[in-house]
Amino acid sequence: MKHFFVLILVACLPFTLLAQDKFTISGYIYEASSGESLIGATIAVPSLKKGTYSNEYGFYSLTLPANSDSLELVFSFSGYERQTRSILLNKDLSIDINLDFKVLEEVVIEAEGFEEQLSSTQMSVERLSMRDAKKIPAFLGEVDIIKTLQLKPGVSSGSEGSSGIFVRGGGPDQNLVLLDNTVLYNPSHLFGFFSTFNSDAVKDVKLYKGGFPAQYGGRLSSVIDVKMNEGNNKKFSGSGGLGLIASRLTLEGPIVKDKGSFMVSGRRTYVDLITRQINRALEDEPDFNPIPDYFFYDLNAKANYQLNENNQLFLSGYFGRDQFTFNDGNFDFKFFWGNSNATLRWNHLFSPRLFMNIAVGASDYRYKITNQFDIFAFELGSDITDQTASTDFTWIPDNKHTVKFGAKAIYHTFTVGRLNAGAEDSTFSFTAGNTFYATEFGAYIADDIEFNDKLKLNVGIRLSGFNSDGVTYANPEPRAALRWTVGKNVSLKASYARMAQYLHLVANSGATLPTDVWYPSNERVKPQLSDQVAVGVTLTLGDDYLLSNEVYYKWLRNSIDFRNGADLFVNDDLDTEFVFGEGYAYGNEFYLEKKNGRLTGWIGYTISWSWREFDGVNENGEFIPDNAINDGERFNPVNDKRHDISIVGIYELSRRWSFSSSWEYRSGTPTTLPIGRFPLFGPDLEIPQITPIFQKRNSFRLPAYHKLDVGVIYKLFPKWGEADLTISAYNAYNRRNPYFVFFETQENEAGIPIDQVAKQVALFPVIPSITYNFRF
Amino acid sequence: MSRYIKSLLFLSPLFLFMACSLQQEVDLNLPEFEPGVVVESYLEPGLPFSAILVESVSYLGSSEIRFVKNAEVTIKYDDQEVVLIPLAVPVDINLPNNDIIDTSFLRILTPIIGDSLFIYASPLTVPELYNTEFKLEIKTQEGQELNASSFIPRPIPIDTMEYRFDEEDSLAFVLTKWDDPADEVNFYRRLLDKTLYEKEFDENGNVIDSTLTTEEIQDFIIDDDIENGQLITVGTDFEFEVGDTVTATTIHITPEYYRFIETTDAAFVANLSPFGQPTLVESNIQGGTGIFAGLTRAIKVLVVGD
Repeated sequence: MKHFFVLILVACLPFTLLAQDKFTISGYIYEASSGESLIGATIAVPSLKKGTYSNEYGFYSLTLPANSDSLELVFSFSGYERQTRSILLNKDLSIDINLDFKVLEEVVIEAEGFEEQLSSTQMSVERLSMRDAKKIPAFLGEVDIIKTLQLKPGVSSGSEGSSGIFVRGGGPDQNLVLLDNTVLYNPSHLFGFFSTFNSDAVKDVKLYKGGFPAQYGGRLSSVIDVKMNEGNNKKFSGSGGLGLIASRLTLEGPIVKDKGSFMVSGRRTYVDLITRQINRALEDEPDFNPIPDYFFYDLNAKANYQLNENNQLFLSGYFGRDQFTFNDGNFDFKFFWGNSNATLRWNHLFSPRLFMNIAVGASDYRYKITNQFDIFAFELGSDITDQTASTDFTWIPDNKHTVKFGAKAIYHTFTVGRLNAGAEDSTFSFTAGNTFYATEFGAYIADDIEFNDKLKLNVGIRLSGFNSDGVTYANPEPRAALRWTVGKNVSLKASYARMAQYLHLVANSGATLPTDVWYPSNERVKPQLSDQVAVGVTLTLGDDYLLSNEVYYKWLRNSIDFRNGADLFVNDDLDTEFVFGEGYAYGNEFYLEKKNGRLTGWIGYTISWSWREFDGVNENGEFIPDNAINDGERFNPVNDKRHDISIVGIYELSRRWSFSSSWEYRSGTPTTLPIGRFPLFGPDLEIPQITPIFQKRNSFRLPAYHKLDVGVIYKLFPKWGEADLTISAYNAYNRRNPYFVFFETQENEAGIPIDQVAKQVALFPVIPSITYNFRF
Repeated sequence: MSRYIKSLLFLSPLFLFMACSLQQEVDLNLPEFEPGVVVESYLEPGLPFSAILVESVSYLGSSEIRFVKNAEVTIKYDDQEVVLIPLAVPVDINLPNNDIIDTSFLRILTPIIGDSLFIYASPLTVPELYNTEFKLEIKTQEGQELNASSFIPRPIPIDTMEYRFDEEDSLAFVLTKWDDPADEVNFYRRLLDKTLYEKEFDENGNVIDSTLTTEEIQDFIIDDDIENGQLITVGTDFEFEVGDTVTATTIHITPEYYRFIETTDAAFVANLSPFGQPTLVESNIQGGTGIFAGLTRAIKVLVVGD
């Protein structure tokens, strides 16, 4: 590690020497009313055709040649009033800017242009503004950033209503979900129908599908980087909403005005309050079975304090739980699961050109099932706990280079399938399960180099490593991205990224379940690797439209699946159930976005293929049938969606009324159906059970999925703040989208099977909802 | 309470929507399915050697069971060779030498659908040989050859059965315990039946009729992975009343039969549940599908309240 930093210093030396006749303008961009830092704001010097963007902490730095003439600096951010400053660049300058949100009498949405999409080397990224996300119709009125991301090209959902996502043919466990720098291992509630992100607590969301920046690592297919709101450091304020199934409340305010602030946000469902009343009302009915209690809640909290102009501290945390309980007197069953995260961060400015972020954090995901029955108790659970330390530097020696470097170390503790069962009278007792420990580390350096107005290159490398159970793996992960500007409105981009994944999710179905277990790489379970190349073109059509097209190809190595009939329940040798193979995915994504005017939205279309191949050939070249899937032939995994279309439209009719709709179409999901059957009598020759014969995995496709969601927002203008009523209809034309297909045996009156029919099950019909939102 | 009723009324349109039928029949074009021979042959000491041979069929094909009736079925062990005789059940069996096949082990003797139950059986019974390899050989009229081998696991007796009533003394649960041998990996199939008189009452509460019925409470498989060499305890829910007769059966089974049950159960569940993993049935029959396995059972009966 020491040698690595020496290398960095040597690499930096020429830039330092070059930078002596230059000066740097640096500072932070804030929202004027709340003091929230703004991520991705544009800082431009039109006369020099130079510019930059604020980073994820709102910091910017722009180094320019010394200039005796006055220069005009333009600060802008989508939806905010732009500001202009005249400066004389004869020394380093520190300029913090507060941008005001546009308040328009007439509804003409004026967003900033698409400069960042055109000028950045970064491709394959989707950025989500919470303001837009809140306008798009949501399932049961619960705004869900993950479901909004599913409407972007290259991203699709696991199943109907699910918050799990598949990115460019990758699996649901191949997404790195970060909340304020720490990992969220299960970002969903209610078996995946809702994500863990309370929209009121979220400031910014970025989804990287490829061309991964070197600071990210650990998952093969995507990075979802979510930043929480920091809190209003100007005045005390609040926001919230009352929905059909949940309510939420966020409070924020200054700790010391303009110096520090806090934000606390909570959300809870209340279906359990209704079901409890039903249970009470019907408890005397002889045949009534009580409805189990179910609820989930989230708590987000964040505080920050600016020690001085060069130092700022942030403390943020998340705690969420789903809880399912059932108690009928004899039987006391509890099932809970959830994440908890905490991060302490220090931002330090060594100089206007060198920014540092240091973070220490912890995250935990766990589930536990407990059951008390008379004198017998049963407890089953798994968890993964991380302790993380990281440091990230951004060094901007001049306007040609932006160098990012840093390192991260994570200490993982895995508890896999921990089972405790026993009786109070000690008549029996047993335990099972494993605990594993692992250390994951990564160091990276990348430089964003602007050769000239046309050519920009981002080149970097990440060195990642993993140690567990006496085995150490190390992987160099080169990254490169290139942008070539053609004229004013067109840029061509290309990227390459290798990713290594050392943690693997043991999930036996396409659905995201809370009982899915994370498992570390070890001697038998090698790290998964991916290589992805992408090329694309981005162009603007006038001031309002952005059109992009990207083609990608992704190779996957050491992909993991499960052998036939795998036993994943309380299995102390879980990794013996794994099989290993290869995969590849490729596709073409089209995206057209309209940003300005009364009508905004986008159209996305993706055509893609995803393949897996588990040939059952071991390291010695021997074919092991148990290790093969589909006899070693390639097959499409469930995330293979040939055609994926999304159309999203938001229409601002007036200050009071706005309308929105989203329409999705996806090719049918590959699925496995039995093609034959036989009767199974058993040793006692009982009435036979129909036993299905499955053959090739995923050899069928369900019918295509499509649905329309519509929404209306009616704004209220109370004296104390803002409010609105959001009315939406999920699946507005009541499409019966197939969730799964099964075969039903039809019997005669004597219980004798007479026929077999195939049936399709849909989950949701049209579901209307209404939500009242407020802000003061 | 009224406010909750109002809440429910407010939500009722939503529940009505949710209650709409979300299942519908669909037409599927399943690919051509090549039928195969499926064999079930269990070796249980004291019972006749027997086997059932059927043909697997396309899932959406006829529900009629296609028994394979013209095969040669032989079971060999040590230097013995037992030829199984094809026969329909119930039958008027005229065997050479006036031999009799005891078919009392068959729970179903009535036709299932379209045809009689058709088995292969022998007047000879399975011997109590626990360290012997048994071999099954089958030759069909079409020339298919199937074979398998197995052994008979030693019987493991049930140690105790006991019941415990809940706090209100109205319902009891039942515990079954047996000692697991420590020197080997053991696999079990556990069955539990409840036998009771279902009573019919008149308006005055007098019993006017009662019928003896047997209800299956449990049927699952377990191994001794967690409790190797220990006392294995298996319980039930609170579901027994005074007078119920509880029959616990522990079948000591082979690893191959355990895996066969595990994968057939998984395949069965996968057809009905989106969370199930479609599973190929693991069989120990070479040249076909099915199971050839030895087993021994231990049975214990408990009357609740005695």
